[in-house]
Formats: sequence, C-alpha cells, structure tokens
Amino acid sequence: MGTLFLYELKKLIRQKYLIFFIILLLGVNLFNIYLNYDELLSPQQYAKDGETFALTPLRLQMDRDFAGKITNEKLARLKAHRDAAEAIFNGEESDEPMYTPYPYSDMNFAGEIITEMQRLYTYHDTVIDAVLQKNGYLETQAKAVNDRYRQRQAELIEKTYAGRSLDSYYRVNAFETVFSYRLSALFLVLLGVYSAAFLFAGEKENGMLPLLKCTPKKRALFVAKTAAFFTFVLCVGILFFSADLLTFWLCLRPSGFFQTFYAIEGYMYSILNVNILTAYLLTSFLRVLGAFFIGCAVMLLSVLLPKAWHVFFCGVLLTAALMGMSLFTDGIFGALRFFDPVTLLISIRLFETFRVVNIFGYPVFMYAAALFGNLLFGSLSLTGTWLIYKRRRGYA
Amino acid sequence: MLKQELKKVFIKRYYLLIFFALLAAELVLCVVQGGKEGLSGFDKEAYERFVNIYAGQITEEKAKQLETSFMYLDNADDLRLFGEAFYQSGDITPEEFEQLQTELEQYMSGRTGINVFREHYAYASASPAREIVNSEAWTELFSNDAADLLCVFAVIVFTVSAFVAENETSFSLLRRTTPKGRKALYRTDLKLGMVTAAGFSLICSALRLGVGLAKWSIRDFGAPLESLELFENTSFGGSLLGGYITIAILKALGAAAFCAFCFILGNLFTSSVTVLLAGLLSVLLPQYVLRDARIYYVSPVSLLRGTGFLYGNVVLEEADALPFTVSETAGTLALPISLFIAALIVLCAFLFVKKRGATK
Repeated sequence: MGTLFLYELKKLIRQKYLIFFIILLLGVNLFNIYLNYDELLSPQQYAKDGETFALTPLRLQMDRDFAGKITNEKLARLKAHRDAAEAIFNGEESDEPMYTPYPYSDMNFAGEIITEMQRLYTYHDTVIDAVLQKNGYLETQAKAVNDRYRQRQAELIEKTYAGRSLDSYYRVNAFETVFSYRLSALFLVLLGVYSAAFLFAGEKENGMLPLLKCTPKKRALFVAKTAAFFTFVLCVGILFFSADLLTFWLCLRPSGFFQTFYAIEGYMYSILNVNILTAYLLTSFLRVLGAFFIGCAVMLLSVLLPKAWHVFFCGVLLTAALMGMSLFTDGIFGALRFFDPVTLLISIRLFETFRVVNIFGYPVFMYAAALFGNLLFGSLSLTGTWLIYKRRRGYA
Repeated sequence: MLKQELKKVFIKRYYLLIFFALLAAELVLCVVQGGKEGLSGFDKEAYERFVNIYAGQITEEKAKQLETSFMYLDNADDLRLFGEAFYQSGDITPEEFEQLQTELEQYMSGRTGINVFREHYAYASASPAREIVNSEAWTELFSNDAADLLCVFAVIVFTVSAFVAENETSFSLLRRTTPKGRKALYRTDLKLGMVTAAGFSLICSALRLGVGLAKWSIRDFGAPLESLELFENTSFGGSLLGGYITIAILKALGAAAFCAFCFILGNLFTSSVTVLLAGLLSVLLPQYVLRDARIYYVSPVSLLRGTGFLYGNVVLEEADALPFTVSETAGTLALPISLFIAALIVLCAFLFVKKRGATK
C-alpha cells in the first residue's frame, strides 16, 4: 500500500506545468502581500533638514523597547517621554532623547502605546466584566421563562470568557491582517481543483482505467489516490501559509507570537484560548481541510465526466457556486452553510466571536458544526466517488 | 472548411449547449445582482417619479419647481404641524387640509428616494453640459467594470473544444499531415473563435440592457454621457446609449482579442486543463491582485473591462510608482495602447503557428 501511495503522489506532482503554476501563484501571492500590506520593507520616506528617514522602523524600535509585561515603571517612562516630546513640540528644550526627528510623532507614538497598554491591562475589567454581566442578566431572564437552550448558552459563555486577562504589550494588532488574508486560500483551492481534475479523468483519457479496474488492488488504489491528494493539498497549503506568515512578518513585523489570541484588538471577543502561533496553525489547517473537501467534490466530478478539462471547468463553476452559497445567511440556505467547504476556507470567521447554533436544544460552537458538516460533505463525496468507481462498466 | 469546423465545435462537442447554458447563467446573474443592489435602501418609486417629471435639460422653471419641492421635503414635519394647527383653529378648510396631508405624505414616505435624486440633481446642475437622467438605472448598467467571467469561460471553452483538445487525441498529428491542416484550418478556427467570442459578449451586453429596461423606466437615451457621476471627467461627446454601445463594442473586441490570446496559450501549453487554468488566471490575476490601473490597461485582457476607457482623464497620483507603468494620466493613452496590444495579440495568433507536432 505504501508504494501505491508514493506512486500516486508522484503522478500528482508530475502533472504538466503543475510546479510552474505553484511557483507562479506563490510568487503572485507574495507580491500581492508586498504591494498591498507592506509597511517596513520599503517604507514611506520623509525628509527633514536634508536627510531622509522612515517613520515606521522607528516606531518598531519604540515598540521593542517597551515590549513585555506592562509595569507601572514602563507607563511612567512613556508618560515622561510623551510630555518631553510635547515640550519640545511647543518650543521648549528637553534632555530626553527622541526616537524620531519629529517631536509630534514621538508624542503620538507614545500616546498610542499608552492607550494600547491601558486597553490590554483593563481587558478583564472592561471587556470581560461587561460580557459576563450582560450574560448574567440574560441567564436570569432565561431561567425566568424556563428557556433551557438560552440557559445552556449562558453557561457556555460563562465558561468561555471567565478568567481571561492580558498583561503584556506586543505588536499584536498587526496580526489581524495576517489572519484575515484570503487570497492564498483561493489559490490553494485552484491548485487543488487543478490536480483533482486529473485523478480519475486522467486515467480515463490515458485508457488506464479499465486496466486498473481489473487488478485486485482496486480499493487500495482508491485509498492511495485520496491519501495522495490530501498529502498534496496539505504540503502545498503548508508552503503557501508559511510563506504568507514569513512575508507578513517581513512586511509588518508583528511580535508576540505566544500571546493569547484575544490580545488582538479586532478579535477581543474571540472564543479561542490559545496563543497566536497555534491559532494560525489551526486556521491554516482548517483552510487546508476546506480545500481538500472541495477537492473531494471535484473527485466525484472526475469519475463522472470523461475528460479532464470538463472536470476542471465544472470544478471551477462548482467552487464559484459554493462561494456564492456561503453568502446566504438566512432561510433554508442558512443550514447549508455548514456543509459548504468555503466556510472552512474562511476559517477565521468561525473564531472571531461567540457564534453558536442550536442543535436539539444544545448550543454548539459554529466551528464544530461546520467541521462536522464538512466531514459529512467530504465523506458523501468520497462514498459517491467510490460507488461510481467500482461499478462494473469499465470504460467511462 | 468553415462549415465542418462549425459542425465539429458546436454540435459534436456540444458547444452550442454550453453557449446557451452560460448565457442563461448570465441572465440569472444579471437579474439577481441587480435585484440586490436595487434594495440598497432607497425608495425607487419616489426616485423614478421625480426623474420622470424633471428629466432632460435643467431650465429656470424646473430649477424653481425643484427648489420648492426640496423645501417641502426639508420642512415636511413642521408643515404638517402647522397644517394641523391651522385646521384646528379653522383657518383652512378640511379639503385643503386633506390636500396638504396627501402632498406631504408623498414627500415623507419617499424621502430616501428624493434625497438620492437631490444628490444627482446637485451634480447635474454644476455644469450646463449635464442633464437630469435616471442616474441610478444607468449607473447600474454601466457599473460592470470587471471582465465578465462567464464570457471568459465561454471563450476558453471554445478554444479548448476547437483546438486544444485535439492534442490529447493525437488528432493534431493527423491534422498537420494534411495540406491545409497546419495554417489554414488553424486560422479558420481562430476566426470562428473570435466571431463567437464577440457574439457572446454582444449578446451579454444586450441582455444586461434588456434586464435594466425591464427593471427601471428609462426614457432618456439621448442625454449626454457626462450626466452620470461615474463619467465626470469624460471627454466622450456622445449620448448615454451611444456610450453603452461603444462600451459593448469595446468589450466584444476585448473578447475577440482574448480568444486570440487563448489560442496562443493553446500553442504554448498543449494540455487542455492547463490552458483552462492559464486563461482563467490571466484574467483573474491582473484584476484582483495587481489592482493598479495602469498595469491592468496594458495587459492582454484590458479591453474586456470596457467601461473604464470612458472615464476620461483621471490623474493618478501614486507615491511609489512601479517601474513598468505607462503614464500618469491613464485616460487618453489607455484606449489606443489597449487597442494596439489587442491587435498585436491577434497578429501573433495568426502568424505564429506551432511548427512541430504535439507528441505527448
């Protein structure tokens, strides 16, 4: 079985021009990040007194100096720095060394860091307390009308959000762009559809399919193909998403990879209780799964249609239809969302805030529901593919 | 030769079915998309009522009437209170009160629509060359600045059906052994493809116009193009309908050039799936990734966009310009350059036919 798997993997990778397209799309992806999100690789230059300098790297230096646990001493130093900068801005003299040639920038940067630090160490008091208090009201209301579902939901909220606190300052807000970046997932899906199109339709075109069906290794072959496709998508996914992270790191220099995920300002209500690096790995893996399940559907098309380019064409239309379907959020179509692999593809939306679905009176986190729905979708596709693959008519 | 090719592609390869299926999908998309945008929160009826009354050139009389109407709109609440007060104290008759009520009701319920109209009116009155038109309807018709993906698909699938798929059945080898197989047949395919592509594009534009006419009541086909805020800086002197037709023709030319581009791709990559992917990427990548307008207008698929050429001279200011850009004012140069590149692509497609056969 092992050799069969390796052969199938080799066949996938050896497709014409696949390596070319992978490199092309990777290059375009990284170029896109550089073009649209770069702040540090080629920062905007300012001029003063005949010299040019860039503000963002100096801000970076300031962030580094004050990074780490938030202490009273650091806050006092920042406030002193800001006051000194204001003094210089107003024309007075000061001994305090400035980070940038413009005292106005120093003032602003120090003020921003102070605000951010305050946001972080009051996270428990402002955000969490507010959430738990409101939750308490809702819980008492639910108890009054004996609404079991809402009571369970309130208990779940309590369990998720209680006990959270933040205590360190890092440049974590830059991570928000990293997590909400979607183009690489789209490219991954395109590459997945491209290679899945060849899985069975390629055999039909070569005339190998009837031969293969005569062998005793029919089932092993099917398993090997699926496993090889999954490995392929996983590897390309790892390539794309780690290249992403590296390029974003070079362009934005976020820090604090091991801070908790909810330290990021845009995700403060998030249900994830892990650190940022783990969160990135988790969302990337979900995206790979999403691409894999779309590939499973394309595999089903691949056994049905006689030519590989028919499969690719229908596969792209299917992907577009799935993306369109994920935009419907109400009515009967709303329930279909959980079976749509595109929901996994945009995985960050599942974790942004507290989202649950009502399944038989129990609140289930949306990521669990989506994962389960997608597994169902994937297994249905694979079962369909297997059934069509093993029927006796050997030709097409 | 042409008849045989027609039969091969349209009937034997079921391209006719695909053609009509994609057209049907296009129709569905037009209806669905337009429907969503129309519900963008303003009262369509009130808006259209105003447009139909005041359409055309802005005269002194119209301006005065509109000022009164807007005054009513702004003070509708107060006027209603005053009306009630007068009615209570008996200063006005019940009939007059009824009349005031109904008039004010019109304004208050259609407030959102009338405010939209007011914005368009403010834009139109800023220059004598502009008229009052059904701006919302026309902007909707014109606001497809992107390459139509269904059209792109129709073109790529045609290329694959007619030309590239034969490599996989080794029929292309046979073809090259015949006296007319290499050049003449290829060029017939190319011409057929370009005509089909242009035809599809034109039918799509006509469909969109038809759907628009069904949704909105448009009567002002002859108004100058500048009446739309979209075309504020345009130097195109024609009417709205003329503008739409010009854009439709440009898109059709773009589709034909894109077909030629796909044939070149078919010469480069002999596998049909690769041509599909490459064709799709060559449209998607410039459009969604490298959004800089200047690069886009120079790419092979620029003509497919259409609308942008009539925007006029918009001065683009960029702090960090990329090295291979054309110029700062995208307007005047974009159209000739795009046409030139399209012509170049078509010429390449006609002249450079692959010499050696495609053995797998």
